[in-house]
Amino acid sequence: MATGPLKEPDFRALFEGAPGLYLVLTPDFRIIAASDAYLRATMTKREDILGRDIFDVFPDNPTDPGANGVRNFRRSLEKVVRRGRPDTMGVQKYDIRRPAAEGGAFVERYWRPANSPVLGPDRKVRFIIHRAEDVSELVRLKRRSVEELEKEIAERTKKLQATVAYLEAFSHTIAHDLRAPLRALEGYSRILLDRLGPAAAPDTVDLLQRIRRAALWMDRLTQDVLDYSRLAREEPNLTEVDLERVVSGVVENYAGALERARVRIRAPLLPVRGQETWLSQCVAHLLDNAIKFVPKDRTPEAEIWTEARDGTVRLCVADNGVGVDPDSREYIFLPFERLHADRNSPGTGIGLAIVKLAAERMRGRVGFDSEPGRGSRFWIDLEAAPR
Amino acid sequence: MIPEGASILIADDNEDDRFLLTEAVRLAGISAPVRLVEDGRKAVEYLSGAGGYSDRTQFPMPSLVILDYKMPLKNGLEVLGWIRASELKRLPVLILSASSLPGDVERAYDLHVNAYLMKPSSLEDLTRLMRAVDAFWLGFNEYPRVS
Repeated sequence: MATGPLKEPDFRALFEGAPGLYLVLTPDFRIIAASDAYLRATMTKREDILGRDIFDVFPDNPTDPGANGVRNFRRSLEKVVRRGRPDTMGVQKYDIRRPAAEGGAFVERYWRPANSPVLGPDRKVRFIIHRAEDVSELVRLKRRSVEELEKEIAERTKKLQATVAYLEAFSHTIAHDLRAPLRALEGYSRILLDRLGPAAAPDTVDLLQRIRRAALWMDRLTQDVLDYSRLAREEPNLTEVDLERVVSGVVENYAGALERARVRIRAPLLPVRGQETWLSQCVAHLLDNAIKFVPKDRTPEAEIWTEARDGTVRLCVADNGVGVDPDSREYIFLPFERLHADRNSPGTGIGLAIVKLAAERMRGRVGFDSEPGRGSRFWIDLEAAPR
Repeated sequence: MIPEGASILIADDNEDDRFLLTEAVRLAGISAPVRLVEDGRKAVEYLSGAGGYSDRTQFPMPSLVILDYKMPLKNGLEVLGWIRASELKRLPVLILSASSLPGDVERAYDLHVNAYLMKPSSLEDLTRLMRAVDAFWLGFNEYPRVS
């Protein structure tokens, strides 16, 4: 082992051989030292740049109108001199000129630079060490993946739009073509019933009535599915809606079906912001629900009113029906979840799903409280119409 | 006023629907004769007295036209457009459709349809609808000079 005092290391060789991009500047931004790695990265030679102003050596790319390398770099250096503290720059585009022998054209480069002062005994800045990292490859990769992503998104959007258009045509075909034979089934059974007249055997009449009911049932199911898909697709046009008019309109329309039921509207109903056609659908389904699930020995009763609540209006529909089983609470607003096992229990199972979707698409929400066996109160919260 | 011998022309491609419409017209007690054609092109031929429809005693000029929306060869809108561009342009025309895509109703009104009706699901409702159509268009409504 060698002993004795250590020889002073060759700092020049250490600096120039350092594995990183280093440059030493004077406080007036002249280059006085550079690492070999720096020279390689900037395609320069030591003898060509030493002693020169850094911005003479590395001017902005004149073909890039957005070039701001010189400005940002100078600002950072000035800050370091002024404050005597290091300054880290963000990722900076700063194009580098090829040597004149190679045509002298600018090549795109991105850097992550940091500038640190070396202070003298008087606490003044003696030198600035400029350290940079070439991140061009990283930026290029990122940019390419963004471009690819955008392309992919554009392609998928196109596909999606085609699918939506297809679905629209599909549901229209369902409505048109599927409903036609149902109308025929209903119509022919009806005609047969009329032709047979009062002389018909009761079981024949019953069978024909069953055919009619089944056809009407499927027709409603088709209509509900269509309504649901249309709700999901169409953009609502929210305007001030007079709930009183909507609700009384629905009640009048239902007059036939409501025969056995008592419906009470607790006027006045507050106006809301919504889409009238959708609100009308919501009220119809809620009312339908309210009077449908009632024990046979009880007269169905429904009550409709509104409550003002801090910027929103709560539209309530209460009934005296069987109520919601606590186990069903989570499923009740899902499409096609029929909660009443009874085969004869009416309802396509999509009504409440339509109400929920419509409410949400009108920036509202739905909910209910229920006392099994005693009744339920369903509500929709909607934006209050501006006064 | 309704002209003497008012009649109705209905164009519908669905055979069942034509049968049920005929039945509904009968049940509604409509006295005006109803002629049926099975597509839009036949409707145009009928109205222009072309093809086999030249005999106006057998195929009278209708006072009211009811068109299905979706039909082969020429759909309801195309027939409506043809009528409005022809010398029969004032002829009252109704669309009776099983379904409507967003914008269908507006397109029909842009072509000056007189009413846009949805096909009801039951024969009972269809009968009610035909009775109303008859009462309004061949009863209360003031009839224009068509040609």
